[in-house]
Amino acid sequence: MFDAINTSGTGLTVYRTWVDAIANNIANVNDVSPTSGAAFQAQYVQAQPVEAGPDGVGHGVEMTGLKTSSANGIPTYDPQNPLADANGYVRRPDIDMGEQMGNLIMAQRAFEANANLVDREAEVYKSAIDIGKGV
Amino acid sequence: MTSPIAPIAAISPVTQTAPASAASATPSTSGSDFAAALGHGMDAVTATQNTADGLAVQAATGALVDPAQYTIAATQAALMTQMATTLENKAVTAFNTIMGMQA
Repeated sequence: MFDAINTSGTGLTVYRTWVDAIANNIANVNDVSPTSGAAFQAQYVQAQPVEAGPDGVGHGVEMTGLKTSSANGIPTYDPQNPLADANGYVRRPDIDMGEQMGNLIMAQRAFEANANLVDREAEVYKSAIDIGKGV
Repeated sequence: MTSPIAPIAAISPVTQTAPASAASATPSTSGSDFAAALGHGMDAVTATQNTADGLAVQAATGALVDPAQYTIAATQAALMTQMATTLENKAVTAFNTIMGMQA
């Protein structure tokens, strides 16, 4: 019962995960790795719609997994860095800060939209429960 | 000289009383009993409340990753409770209306 609330709940879960992934990406934006190892790999949330119910209406969204950016990162010339190789190169993560912030805005607004929907759906169900109260 | 005491015979099982025929004599209405239906409804309400309670404990102990899960479960439990009480009140109102009938 109250399926719409569960549907919005799946959206909340996915968008919270997305915010978590963006937070992790931005937290690691300045990680430096030696060229012998892998650079920090940015994580991207992958989602798909949940299978529809008997009435044909979908039941929300679900995470299918996390995709990661290239392990090569951006080889950067930084001979002063203690991790630099013989040629003076280190790996920096291939993260576009602007892209991450843009994604953050999308994730945040979508989360808010889903959270508002939960309240609206509760109001709708309440009005159904209140039918005939004055009779 | 003592005579052996005969062992006490096992008490014969009480014969099952036949279901009151008076009740079945009255023409029964078709459909399920409202009390049973309300009971099932209350079970569902309790289940959602238990879910919300479990998530509340997780939230309090810091084990809950997704706070929205708790608030959603709490909202659903509140809605279920409201619906159950509304149905119950409707039934009581109907009962009172019938009891208030006078020829």
